[in-house]
Amino acid sequence: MIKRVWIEEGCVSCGNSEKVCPEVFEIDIEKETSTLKIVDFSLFEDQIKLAAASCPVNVIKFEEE
Amino acid sequence: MAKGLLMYFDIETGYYPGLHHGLAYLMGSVSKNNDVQLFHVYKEEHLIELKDLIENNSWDFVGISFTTNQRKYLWKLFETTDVSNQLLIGGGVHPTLDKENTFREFPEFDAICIGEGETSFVELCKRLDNGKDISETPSFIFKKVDDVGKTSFKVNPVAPLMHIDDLPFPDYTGFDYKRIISDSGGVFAMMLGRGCPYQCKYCASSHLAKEYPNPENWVRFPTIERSIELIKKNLELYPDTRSIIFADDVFTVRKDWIKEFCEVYKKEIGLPFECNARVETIRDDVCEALKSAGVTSIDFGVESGSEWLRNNIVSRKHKNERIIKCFNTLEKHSIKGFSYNIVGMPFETPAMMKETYELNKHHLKSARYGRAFYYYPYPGTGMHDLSLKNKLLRPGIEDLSGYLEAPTVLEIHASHKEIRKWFKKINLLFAVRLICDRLYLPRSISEVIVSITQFFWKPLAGIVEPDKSNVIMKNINKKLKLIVKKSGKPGHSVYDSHDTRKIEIDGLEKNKEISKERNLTNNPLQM
Repeated sequence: MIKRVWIEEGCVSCGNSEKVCPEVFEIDIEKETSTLKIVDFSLFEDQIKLAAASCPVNVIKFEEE
Repeated sequence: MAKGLLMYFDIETGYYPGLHHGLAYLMGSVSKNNDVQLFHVYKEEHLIELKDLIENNSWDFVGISFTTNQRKYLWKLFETTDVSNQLLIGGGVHPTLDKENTFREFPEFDAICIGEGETSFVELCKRLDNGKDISETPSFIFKKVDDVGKTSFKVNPVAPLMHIDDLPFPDYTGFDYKRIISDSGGVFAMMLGRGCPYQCKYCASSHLAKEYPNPENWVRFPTIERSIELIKKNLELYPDTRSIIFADDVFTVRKDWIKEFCEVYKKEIGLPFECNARVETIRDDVCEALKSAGVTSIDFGVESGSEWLRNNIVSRKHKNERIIKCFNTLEKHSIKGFSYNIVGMPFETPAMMKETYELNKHHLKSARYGRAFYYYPYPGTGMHDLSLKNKLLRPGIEDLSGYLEAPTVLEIHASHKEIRKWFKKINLLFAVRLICDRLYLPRSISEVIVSITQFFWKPLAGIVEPDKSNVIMKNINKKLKLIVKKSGKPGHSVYDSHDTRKIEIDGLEKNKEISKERNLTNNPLQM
């Protein structure tokens, strides 16, 4: 089960994560990066994994229990 | 060995007919063990040659790659050419994103190939060669008509996206590459990677990714070693290459990759180059790497100066400040930034187009060249869906073959007169900046000239964007381009590669008769 998700430095704001899993990820235009919403990550495990796998700059990370 | 004919439709796009990297890759894969010919269809006269080529040869398959804008030429081809005895396959972005309508609009097609065709076409050729059943070939949709005339479709799974290193090298020899490269001043356009990670709603890229079982691999770059090998191989084909354009959608998206690439490129290749990038990817360290490797200019889609339009309609989520910072960073590193814009988008008002103009004129003074294009709706994209849903598209746009001809939206949020005005003013702005730079005028003087010419934009825009019917203006435009070309250094060929023109939709009467029947029944642009 995913217990932690984080975004490392280097996000290029492509919007892929937001498209794949809008329940968890959102582009913050001011901060120029994808950001996380406060939700129960365990409900969106597959989408989070897909967002991480398809991140073009590999900055989406998660930790499983 | 299967015998096939592939056609690439590239008529009157507004660009000088050029190399198509996807088809070059396809040729590199399929022509290895098969007898496959490529026909680059870049003028209407070619349709007569095609009739002879198709009807008087025995082909195992005939494939046509086309975009939405080129459909009217396919109508013409099918009006005059008997394709009924061929295994006729459609491919490219339009059939991939608008499958059902492609079969509806073109009953001539027996199959369409979805997405990248390297592995699936090789498989098709193998099956044809061995006399096997082709209906299971991956990535193809086959049409079947039974004895009582009932049509059904066999939809096969799409083959997974391949890593670029696992594909054979592209083969450009099917194109008239010597003429294409020499006419553009020795600039060889190449493509190393594939796929764009961004979500722009006017573009096909993010929608294409969804077609594959492994969309997470959509953005791909070859290894550095493979990239250099590919460039060297291309340079062997055309040793007089003076500079390179890397046509990848966002060359700078992977910072580590681009830095390592630049390091090796400057040692192994050393030619000046241009590339495309996104403003979000431009930082000092990236510019340093690019500059040291020989970059001369970078093309950016600015698209609109309206943050509301960009964020809410186009899905390009950044502020104007980011665009300005990007161009300032480029200038700091003596890299030219070029700004590409769209006018006449759905929901775009004249005030928003003015914002685009003002962003370019006042805040992007370092954008020494650029263009404005009219928005064109591509079926399968988010903005086309939005335009259809809100009934924003004007009738007759299927007659447009590019982005430089006329607005495509109805006069709801802006009149066509207003859209044309901002199209012309932005293009005049960049044409004047380019000429001033080619004459080595200082920036301060050139910006004064820009302001003066904007005051007289109406007559001057007639020279920069001449009407197709205006022979005098067209000739002046041609001569002007020649002067700009002669005074230019290698490294950029954008201006003289555009056959700028404006035509009225109503003026295309010759296409009306042919298109009438298909228009009435099947028009994906207005369905």
